[in-house]
Amino acid sequence: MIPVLQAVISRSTRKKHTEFEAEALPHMDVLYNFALRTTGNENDARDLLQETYLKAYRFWDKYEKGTNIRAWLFRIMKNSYINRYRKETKEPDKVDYEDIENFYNSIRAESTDPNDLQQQLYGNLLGDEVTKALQSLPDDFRTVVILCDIEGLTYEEIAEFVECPIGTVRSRLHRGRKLLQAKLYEYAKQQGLIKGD
Amino acid sequence: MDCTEAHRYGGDAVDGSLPDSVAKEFEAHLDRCATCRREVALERLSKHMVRQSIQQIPTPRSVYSLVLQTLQIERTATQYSFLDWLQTWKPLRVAVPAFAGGVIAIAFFLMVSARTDSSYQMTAHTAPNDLIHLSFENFALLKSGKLQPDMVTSAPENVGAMFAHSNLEFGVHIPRLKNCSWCGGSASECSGVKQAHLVFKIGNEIVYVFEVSDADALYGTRVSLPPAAKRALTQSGWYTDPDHPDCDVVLWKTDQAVCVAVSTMKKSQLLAMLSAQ
Repeated sequence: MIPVLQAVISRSTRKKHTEFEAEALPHMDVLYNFALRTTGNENDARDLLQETYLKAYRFWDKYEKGTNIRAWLFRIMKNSYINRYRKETKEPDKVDYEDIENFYNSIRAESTDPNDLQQQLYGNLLGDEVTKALQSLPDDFRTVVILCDIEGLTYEEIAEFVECPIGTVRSRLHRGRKLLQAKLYEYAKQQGLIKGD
Repeated sequence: MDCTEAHRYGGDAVDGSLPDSVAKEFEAHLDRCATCRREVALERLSKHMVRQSIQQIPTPRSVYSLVLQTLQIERTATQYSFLDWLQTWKPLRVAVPAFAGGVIAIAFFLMVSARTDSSYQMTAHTAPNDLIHLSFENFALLKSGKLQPDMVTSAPENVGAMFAHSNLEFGVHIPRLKNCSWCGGSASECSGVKQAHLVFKIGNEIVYVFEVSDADALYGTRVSLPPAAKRALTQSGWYTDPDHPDCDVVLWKTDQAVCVAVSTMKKSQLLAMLSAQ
């Protein structure tokens, strides 16, 4: 091997590596949390995170410098998740709107005050139940709920992350929260934590 | 603001991104509408619960290390896969330059050859009535189909019979060539010179033989030959151009004719075949 050529290759690889580390690694926490909430367990979250960074490194030359790197990384993770965990699922998630209807009908009939509901639910449910309820949401809804309510991103940022209009983000968020609430309410009722009809 | 509009802004209100322009109207509507108030309260509750129950977790150190390790491995693999690819050329570090040199040498040789050919035709055999020049021209016409034999046969004696009945004033020599699949012949006259044309198909090669009377070739003025050719033909009966070894032409003399053979085959092969007859 010609030493000069070897040096040029090494230098080029080192530069790429340094750039990547400086730009991509600071977002690992956000990605890890998203992976954790999406997959529901640490092992899958670790694998998903690893795969995401590996792909990002391989396609680093495709990343447009100066654009939102967090959104770029997030999209890689989301696509990896879809490929890895939803290969067998040909149809998109369907929302069981019946749950939401039942929930709202119940609290309307009971004239439950949201403050009381908060007391009842928040006071008795554990984080695990919320996590489970969150994971049971359809992917599209869960994603926007995590990004908005856990990560605290703005609608504009979420729209960039998931590559859809802000109106769609609003709609998914609203429905996701309703669905989540319905699930928690149903769970609390089954556990006898709150009085049902 | 009605319930539909309030419904649209509910999420923004919960997330604190309600535009100032509609904030007052929205609040006013909530004061009036218990249903919308409840909806917004429930959505706020949902957000609150998620936020309180699910905390941000820092990436475990083991996971962080694993990612770094993966990147490091990938970095090394990327670097060395390219280096390995270059290494595959290492055993050929002598062969490749040698091959390139060979290609250049061949190209140079071909270039020089082309020049030699050109100079050959432009110097030794440029005279329009030069027998060798005429032979090359006729051979080119034969290959292009513009010169066609009057007879084509698998038996060379038939061609001989045809010439015997022609008005040629010399005896045409029919070479007995091995492995000849067919042969053809025709007679013509140009500028008062009577000419015989023969073509032989041997395998994938073609041999064209152009014949004129020896009187015209060696002593006449209507066709010409280089003095060295005349001398050689007179003395030995054979001539090949020693200054142009690439020139695939062989001349020989019979009792009555001078024959010029041009072929697609190599000169040495042609000479060997003709001299063996």
